[in-house]
Amino acid sequence: MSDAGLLSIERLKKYYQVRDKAGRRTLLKAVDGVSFDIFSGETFGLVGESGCGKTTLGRTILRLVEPDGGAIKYAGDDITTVNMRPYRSKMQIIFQDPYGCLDPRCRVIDIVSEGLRARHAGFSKSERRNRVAILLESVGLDPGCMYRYPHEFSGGQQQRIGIARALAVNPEFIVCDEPVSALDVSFQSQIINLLQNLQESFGLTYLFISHDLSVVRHISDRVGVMYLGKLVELGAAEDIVLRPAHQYTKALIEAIPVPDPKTGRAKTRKLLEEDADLSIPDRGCRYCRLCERALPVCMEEEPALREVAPGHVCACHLL
Amino acid sequence: MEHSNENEVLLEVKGLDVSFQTRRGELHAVNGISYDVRKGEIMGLVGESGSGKSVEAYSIMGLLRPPARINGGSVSFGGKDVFQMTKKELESFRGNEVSMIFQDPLSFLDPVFTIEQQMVETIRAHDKKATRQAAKAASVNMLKEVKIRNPERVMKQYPFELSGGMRQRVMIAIALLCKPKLLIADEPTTALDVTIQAQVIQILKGLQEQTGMAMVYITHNFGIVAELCDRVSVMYGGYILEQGDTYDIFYDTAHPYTKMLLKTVLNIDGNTKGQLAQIEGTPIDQVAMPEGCVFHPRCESCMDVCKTSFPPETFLGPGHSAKCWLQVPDEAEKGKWTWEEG
Repeated sequence: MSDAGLLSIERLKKYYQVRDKAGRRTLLKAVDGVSFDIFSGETFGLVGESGCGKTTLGRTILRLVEPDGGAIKYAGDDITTVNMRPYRSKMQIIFQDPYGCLDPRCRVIDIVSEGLRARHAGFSKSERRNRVAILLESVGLDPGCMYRYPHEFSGGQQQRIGIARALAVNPEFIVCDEPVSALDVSFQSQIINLLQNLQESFGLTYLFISHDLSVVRHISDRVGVMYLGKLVELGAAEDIVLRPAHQYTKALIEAIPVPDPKTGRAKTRKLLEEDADLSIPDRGCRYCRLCERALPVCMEEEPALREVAPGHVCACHLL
Repeated sequence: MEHSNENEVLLEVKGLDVSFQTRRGELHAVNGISYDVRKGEIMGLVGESGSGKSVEAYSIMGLLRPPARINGGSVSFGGKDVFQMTKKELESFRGNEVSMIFQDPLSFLDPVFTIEQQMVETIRAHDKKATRQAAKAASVNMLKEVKIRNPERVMKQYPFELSGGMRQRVMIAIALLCKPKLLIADEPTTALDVTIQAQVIQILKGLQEQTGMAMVYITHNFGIVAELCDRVSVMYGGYILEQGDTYDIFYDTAHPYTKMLLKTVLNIDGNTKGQLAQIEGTPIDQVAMPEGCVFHPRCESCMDVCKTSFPPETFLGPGHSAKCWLQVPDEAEKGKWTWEEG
């Protein structure tokens, strides 16, 4: 891990205009002032529940969604407002829905080579075929299948095609947006292993977005935890899982079912009554309404990120 | 409450065989599976997608329609054969005896009716004498049971106004309105966040203990199986490859498929750096089933005999059985077997 951040974001914001239940226009703060650095060669895991803004953040970093504030720096260049064309081949994305992200009317060879054609015109047919064959082999697919259509493959194989497409332009940085959530258990481990092997052989840097903390812990060097548009905790993967500081991170870990009957059955959890209001409060900590140990100050003042251990920061008044 | 033996068999599935007619040929979804569920027991059905878990559950409810075809076997519930029931009997059977919850509550709930209308209708459909008032009161109570804080308000709302976790709770409430003896849960928490999932499981567990109903819980999450289920059936390619109580499945695993599945499970508490165990290959094509054992193309310990003949069910302990040639010693090597029951 080099000490220069490959990618760094500063107070990145993305707001959407929505209408609330009464029909008034309000702002949905999907990503609200998130800052972190991702170092070259590392895997940065981003966890949080649905609606916390993790996918929006991933897309904003690639400028697939335009940010409303803050800055994105890639390898020292400010890319917040520039033309992204030169950066597209360096920064790629792998999507959650393996079938949805592949054009059903294109053959595998067209899908995988599209990025190549966009960058280098004048690829001969045989060059294109050779390049696609190498890519398919590197993701564990039979090159013979390049003339088939996406629907002829299983979910795990479709995800491999998506990965091959991302790799085609020789990227340095890949946003993996829930790449295994839609897959069957037996494919999940195949794809995770594949991503790790590719990282080693191509020296890739990943932003790995997932709601599954067990997967994130396995693949990531560092982990950021998001809650309602804010980064609430960030640290080494081991620290986050074994020594969580934020009450929300603790609740997330607590909620994971333990695949071991002896310990799993003994576990008792507090049963929360369901209250539908999970809109972002005007002030105070965003987690205070669900937090068991909320103090009066939590309702009033938004906590800032503070260092709790070297490289481990957390935004909580309790610390 | 009737006085019943704890070990009384409630649901008995015997040699159930279901296939679908497709353009490519016959798709063998469920291939002669047998199991039973006793009163008050939670049976977990685990397997990858396409292993036949859901088709199997639908056949218990008598919900299969063409192109699905039941080729053989029987499902009996409390001694009655479900496949022989008349339309009228089926109507009262569903809801009163067996109820079902699904992965996607939006396809269960009707978008154009309020929760109140849907709940009251459910009660009155099964109990013609119930007054609207009584049905409403029962509905409010049921919503309280699933820990909804403000049931009166929720009753007036439409499904789209509720959050995912709320919808799931409402669906559970509706499914349990008529106090069924068996609840079939088809991946009810797969689409939910972990914190909401934990809540839903807690609710199901609580209600199960309170009412003593039995449950068939379909999932691919071994964490949920470990925390919730009493017994487990592991399905692959329409066969139950291993069956036993939860402790047997986790600590005395017999089938290579179960072993591989358990190895691929990521445990948050464990040290999990490095390569993950993985199951090679892809699930089988159920139109062109392999000869011999269904799992042999992906099995690490595949032997010659596995490629030619399907292994018999071997009993390994009380209620614990597996279909694998590794569990049939000696005979496996000779490639022939004589198998006696028990």
